[in-house]
Amino acid sequence: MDEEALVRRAITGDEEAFLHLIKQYEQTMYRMAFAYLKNEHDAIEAVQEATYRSLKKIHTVKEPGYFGTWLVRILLNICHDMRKRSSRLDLQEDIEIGDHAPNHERFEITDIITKLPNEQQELIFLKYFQDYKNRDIAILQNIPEGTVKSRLHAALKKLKLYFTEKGEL
Amino acid sequence: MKQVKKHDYDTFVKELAQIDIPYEQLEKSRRKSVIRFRKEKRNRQRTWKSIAVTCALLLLFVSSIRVSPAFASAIAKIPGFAPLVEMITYDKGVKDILQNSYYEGLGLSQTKNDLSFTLQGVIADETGMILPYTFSAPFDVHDLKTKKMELRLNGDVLPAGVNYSWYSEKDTPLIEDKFEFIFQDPINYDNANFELYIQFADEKQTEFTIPFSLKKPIAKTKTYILNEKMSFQGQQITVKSVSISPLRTSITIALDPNNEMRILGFDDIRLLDEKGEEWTTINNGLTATGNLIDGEETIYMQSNYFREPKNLTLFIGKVKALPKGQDFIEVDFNQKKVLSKPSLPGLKVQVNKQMVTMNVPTSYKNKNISLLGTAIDANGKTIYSNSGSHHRPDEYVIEQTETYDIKGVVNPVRIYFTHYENFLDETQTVDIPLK
Repeated sequence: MDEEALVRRAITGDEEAFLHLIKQYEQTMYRMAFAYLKNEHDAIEAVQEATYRSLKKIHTVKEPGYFGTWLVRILLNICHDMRKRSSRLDLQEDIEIGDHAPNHERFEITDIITKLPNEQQELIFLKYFQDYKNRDIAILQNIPEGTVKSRLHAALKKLKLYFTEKGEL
Repeated sequence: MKQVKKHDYDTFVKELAQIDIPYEQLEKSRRKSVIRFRKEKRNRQRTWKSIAVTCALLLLFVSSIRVSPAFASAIAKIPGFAPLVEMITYDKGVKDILQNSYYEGLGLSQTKNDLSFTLQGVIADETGMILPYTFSAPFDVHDLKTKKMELRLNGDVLPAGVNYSWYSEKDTPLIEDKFEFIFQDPINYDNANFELYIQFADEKQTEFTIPFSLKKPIAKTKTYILNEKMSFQGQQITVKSVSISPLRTSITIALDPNNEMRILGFDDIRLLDEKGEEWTTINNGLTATGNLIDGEETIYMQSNYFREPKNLTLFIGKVKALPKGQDFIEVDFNQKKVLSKPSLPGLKVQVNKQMVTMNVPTSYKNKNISLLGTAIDANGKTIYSNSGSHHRPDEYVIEQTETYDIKGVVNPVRIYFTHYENFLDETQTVDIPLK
């Protein structure tokens, strides 16, 4: 069965269809959560909360084609909240800027991206992680396509800036 | 520039790909989420157990009720009215109530454990109450659950069904919505002192008890006794009475026990006035009390209490019925088998452990309806379902799965249909004797 049909079934309350879907996305979700929260325990917690919330609100999905994006946004919101709540993590992140410990080299770009303003991060995840078209993002966020492009451009510019600065250190 | 971008994102994707996946933990967490969800669903269903009711959820907003944006925005500004604005788009009766100022503002606030609850006002009649409220906290409350909810009259809990939910996709510190209480029996408002009791499922299990009484007079229900017999392809029903109060019009219908067919429901019930304006059944909320299988049901419609029509005619049509003897399925939960089912076009039944899944063909658009009704075991004991779900596998099929509590059940179990689209052709009318 194709994904849209599964999503349609899930929207009408079919738990099995929902589980089938979530299994397909779970690993992507975990990677994103880990990128934000930097440890397994929190990342699992975020995925668990996202699974619960999406199961509860699945009936509100209007456009089955955007299920993946909808899920990603729920997860991002949870990750932002968890990070906000944990000042300990914030502190650690401050230290991480410009840190060349090999341990952190693994997530160089990811760290930079997760420090961008939320809306820019979301666009990057939607655009490059989920591989969505510009037009889809515009529909999703209720903003014209031109705005998406310019916001994306701003996000990229900022990213490039971070990247160059880091390179110069 | 483009190349740099490409490189950044390739790196990003590569970095994410390096993250190890703890498969086992993920699976465990998924199971936990599902269990938590199911538990909460069960709790929500329990609220309804005390009173037999039928509910419908509005899936598509009905466009037949036109609301001027000016009217909607004017009432949205009155404190406590915001939750009612949505209601007027699907219930003409509520629109009339607000236009006729049949509303009593209360504005009673209490704050405990950082939670503030305000009972904004009340619309009350002999059949029920609508209580708009707001609650807020210095933290996100969109997911806050309730544990208990009661409406008390002079100290005693009123036997009533309550319909409520709040919904916000985003985090929010403020919820504005309404409780709808439907009383089992009409209540007497003389010297009535009410208390709204609500307990939240927060850490401290915060409770609010809000006493209130009403100063404005309560509109008297207009009741018309009809006892009008109607026949649909030889199947007899009696329209016993029509009662009109501000919140709803109730129509009580009894079935003739000697009918050859069992009537499952009425898909078209309308009231028409002399100008051709019509009032239909409730689209979103409580639609009926009683159970047709027991021979009598009271069906609720949108109210026209505040109108003064010269004539009012009740139309009943699209009566759904199945021949007696072909109106149930028989299953054996031990053998996981369907023992018998009537030969109805498109009917599919499956038994799996304590689950029964049924598919029937439908012409309904964007609407779900319950298919499986009363279930009785071999000893005549009624068995209940713990949870159920509906879905539409495609445009022309409704599927329902019910999970029954089969502890101590004696097989076989007979489960009666509550819906099958086999319509009797006729439409009957009766004039309501307004004076």
